[in-house]
Amino acid sequence: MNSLRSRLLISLVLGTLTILLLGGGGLYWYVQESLIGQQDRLLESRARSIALLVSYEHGQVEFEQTEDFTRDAKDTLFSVEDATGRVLSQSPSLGGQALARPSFLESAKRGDSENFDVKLPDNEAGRALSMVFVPRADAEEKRETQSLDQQHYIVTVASSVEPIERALSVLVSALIGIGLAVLGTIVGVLWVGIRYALVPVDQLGAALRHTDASMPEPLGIPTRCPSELIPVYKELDRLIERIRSAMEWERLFADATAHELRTPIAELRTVTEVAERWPEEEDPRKAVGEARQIAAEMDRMIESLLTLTRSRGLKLSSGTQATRLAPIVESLVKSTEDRQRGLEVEVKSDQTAAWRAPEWVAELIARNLIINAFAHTEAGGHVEIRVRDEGDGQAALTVSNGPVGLDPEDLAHLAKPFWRKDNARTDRNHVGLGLSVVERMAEAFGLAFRPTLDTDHQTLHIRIAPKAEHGHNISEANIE
Amino acid sequence: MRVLIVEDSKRLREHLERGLRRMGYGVDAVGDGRQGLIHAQTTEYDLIVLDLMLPELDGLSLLRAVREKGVQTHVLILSARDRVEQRVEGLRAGADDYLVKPFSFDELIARIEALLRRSHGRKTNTLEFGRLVIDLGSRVALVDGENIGLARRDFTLLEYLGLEAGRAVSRAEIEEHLYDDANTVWSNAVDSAIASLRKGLARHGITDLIVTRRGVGYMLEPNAQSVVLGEGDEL
Repeated sequence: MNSLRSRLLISLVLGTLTILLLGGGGLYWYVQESLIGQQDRLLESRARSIALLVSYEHGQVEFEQTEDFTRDAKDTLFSVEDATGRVLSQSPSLGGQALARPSFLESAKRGDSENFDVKLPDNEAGRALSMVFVPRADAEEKRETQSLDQQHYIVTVASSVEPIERALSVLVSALIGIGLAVLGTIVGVLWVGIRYALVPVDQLGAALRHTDASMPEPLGIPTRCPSELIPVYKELDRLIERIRSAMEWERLFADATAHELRTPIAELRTVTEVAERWPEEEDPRKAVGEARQIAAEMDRMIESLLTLTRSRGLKLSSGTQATRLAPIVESLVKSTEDRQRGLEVEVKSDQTAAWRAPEWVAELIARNLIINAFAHTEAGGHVEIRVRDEGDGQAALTVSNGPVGLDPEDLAHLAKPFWRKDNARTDRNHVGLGLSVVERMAEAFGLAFRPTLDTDHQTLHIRIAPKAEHGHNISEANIE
Repeated sequence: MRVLIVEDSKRLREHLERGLRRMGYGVDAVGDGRQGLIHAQTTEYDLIVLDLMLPELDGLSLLRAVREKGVQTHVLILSARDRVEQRVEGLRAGADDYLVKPFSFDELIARIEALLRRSHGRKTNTLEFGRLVIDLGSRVALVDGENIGLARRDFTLLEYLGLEAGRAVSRAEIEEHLYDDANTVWSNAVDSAIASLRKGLARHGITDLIVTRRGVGYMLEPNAQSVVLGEGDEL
């Protein structure tokens, strides 16, 4: 019952049912009021007729029943009383019982009338009307009897409402019958309509079910796709594209990792197997030393890989403190003197400039950039490390080094895991993960990684600076 | 047998070189594709062990270049690229075998031996000349089933002559297949190696197996009487 189809059907059926109930109820009320109003008008007309039959004759009030009246009013219950409640005349059908007397009569004056519900002598429900009137008198009677105008009489007429109730009962039956038929038809039409309307949703579900999880293909927008589903298809395709590129990255990364680990393992096996095969000719201590060195290199590579993988889960949070870069950079340059290989190293730093990143992240980024620059600058070259305040204390770290022997097309690969320019390949101390780690860490903490190459292709600048809110670097210029 | 190793990992290259030298092969080893191509085009190797991801010139380009130049040396690719399509690409580029890193040194040796056998049209790992059996796998020479204990260099020379049995090979050919760039080859190096081998064989009654062809070089005579008849036998 939790399907879209059931929900739509239930809500539409309930809506239809409500409309039918309100319509039926309204119709019932209207018919009922019309019939009662009609009966009330009939009672009033009868009351007036009866009142006309009451007149003064020689100073006495008389009720004159004509044949016509007797014939027309045989089903009418009536009673004519004076103001004190003395019955002047009543219909035989009342059997001597009095009709209920409405309270308005206490203060009523001539011509006042009121309709009200009443219980008839045979316990049937009925409708009644009481009207105050002055009996008819001719001019002579009026002259003789001065006080005639002050003497009020009350005529009450009543009739059963059974015909109305019967008519209403027929109406209710008809409404229920028609309502059920209409409801059934609507349920059927809605069921078929909803099924048809939701076919594209089923198709979307089937397309997703049949998507290959190992390498999903974009769904594409099917022909006759409803306009409401087109944005869903587009979003799904964008999501699938992102998943594909993430999977492709993972595949290439795993492939490259396996590849990079295979060579040191091959070295390890060869070193140990050659030593084992010619024990009298190979120095076992040397073989063990080399094996230990290989293990240390593999350990370093795995540490870099782990840092790279863990950087995916890191995110800049509002509570992250600002870290000043200048002390970190200066300390790193001092501690890496053994790696500088006689290069000309220059440090320029604004002391207050900071990144909103933990100290260990700032240190990791700066360390990898600086060591990378030292390792890949050709002999006799220069390395410049600049920490610059970009405004509001935001730091931009730019490491420039050259000559580097890179081509402009190499810039796109710099941050790819395990990428190395050819002449760096034979050096197993640099496996090509440093700049990948820098880019990932920078991305995680809202910093942009931007490599550029001087027009003479001799100096590489790598700049790490906070991203602007709209996704661009703050002040991308000023790389000297 | 002379082998060229083209491998960018210095440590792996050095250990392969040492291992193969201890096996008795002449070995040259280089660390980039350009050097590898120069060596492959200028020296006649029996086998090239080739890595694919190389600086300067990648292994596949090197392989295609040497094949285009008509070099028919057997090539064994030694690479960390393990996917089927990568192996197929390597073999289609002209390699004779493909071994994925990491590998067992024993397996590498076995594959090298198989390729060398193939280059001499042989299917077994032994060469038999009457009483003399040359076991290429164990790298020993047996006379009447007994290991005659040849020195590594003498065995390599016997192996080469055995593989070329019946054909006179020149001193230059012997030099090229036995000695690598690391060894200084003196002018009489081949003659003294032949003399040493003959001496080793003569101790077991084999005196006429290696004959001198004047003006040409040396030849292993497969039907030499001393190996066909045996010690003390008469015609």
